[in-house]
Amino acid sequence: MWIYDKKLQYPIHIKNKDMRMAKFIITQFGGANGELGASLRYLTQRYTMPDDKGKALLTDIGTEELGHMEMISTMVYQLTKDASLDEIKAAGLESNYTEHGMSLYPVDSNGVPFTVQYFAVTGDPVADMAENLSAEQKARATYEHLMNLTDDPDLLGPLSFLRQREIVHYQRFKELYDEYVKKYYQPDFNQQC
Amino acid sequence: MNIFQDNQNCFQPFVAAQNLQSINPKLFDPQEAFMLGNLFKDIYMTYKGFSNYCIQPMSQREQALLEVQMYGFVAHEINLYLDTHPNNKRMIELYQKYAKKTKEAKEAFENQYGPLTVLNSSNKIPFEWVQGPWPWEYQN
Repeated sequence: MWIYDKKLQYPIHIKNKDMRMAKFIITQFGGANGELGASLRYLTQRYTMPDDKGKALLTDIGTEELGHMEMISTMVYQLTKDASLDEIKAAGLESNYTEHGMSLYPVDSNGVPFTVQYFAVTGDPVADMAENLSAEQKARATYEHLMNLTDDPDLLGPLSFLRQREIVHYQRFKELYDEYVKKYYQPDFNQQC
Repeated sequence: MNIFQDNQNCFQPFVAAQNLQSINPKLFDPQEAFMLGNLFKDIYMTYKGFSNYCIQPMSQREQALLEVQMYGFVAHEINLYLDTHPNNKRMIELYQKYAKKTKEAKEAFENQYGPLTVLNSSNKIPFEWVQGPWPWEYQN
């Protein structure tokens, strides 16, 4: 069960419309390394975790990622709010406008729609954790690419915050990954001589 | 652009987890942690000198909400830490401290500006929960 809190994890106030950046940032909503995929991946993986630590961590990080999806959606919403048809055309977003109007739709920066393939769930805790380590690093890299593409501090603040969250999540998943490898694949290491 | 080649100084290599399993991790203070998006000094990783964005509240309401966000963030960071280190006494005590601060900040905000969760909606008409601003709306 989830309960909604009427706030963002981190404040977002974007003063300047920027259709171009909206087109890029939306990949962190609907792209392969985006927050929608991350939240649903973790919240799906948690059922087959072998211990309470894994269940807790995936529940808590998966929940935080839902909040990140909300932050990304907010950025895209504020960046495109009240855009004129000319601005939509200038950014090459007519196709998106045709299909979805001004609503949010999970696509990557090339306009490729979200797919459940991004879930990547194996039921194997070590494989799932390794997947998550890689996912966090890929998301970090994507945030850095996005930061390279803008100099608007209203965007850089939240992008930098979200990038740092990937680093913290990576660390927590790494702790669990190391523990699972030891527990399930290197039990001899734990034995007393 | 390849930052790994162009500017080695900008990138701090990631340190292996084993070295960081100190019993008492070094922490940023709440304001700094929230600004950076990371409570833990040992795993903080800067990028090209970005990452230092001061948050300037534009109104009393935003200031009150920032308190909720900041303490909530610190409590959440400790929560994630405790998921993988559930026996750390000092961090459990810190969790209690920041959970309490979050609750107090929430209560202070809600008394002034309306409910953050529907459960705390009052008996006013119209139903307070329905009223904006919603979190994604641009607010001055």
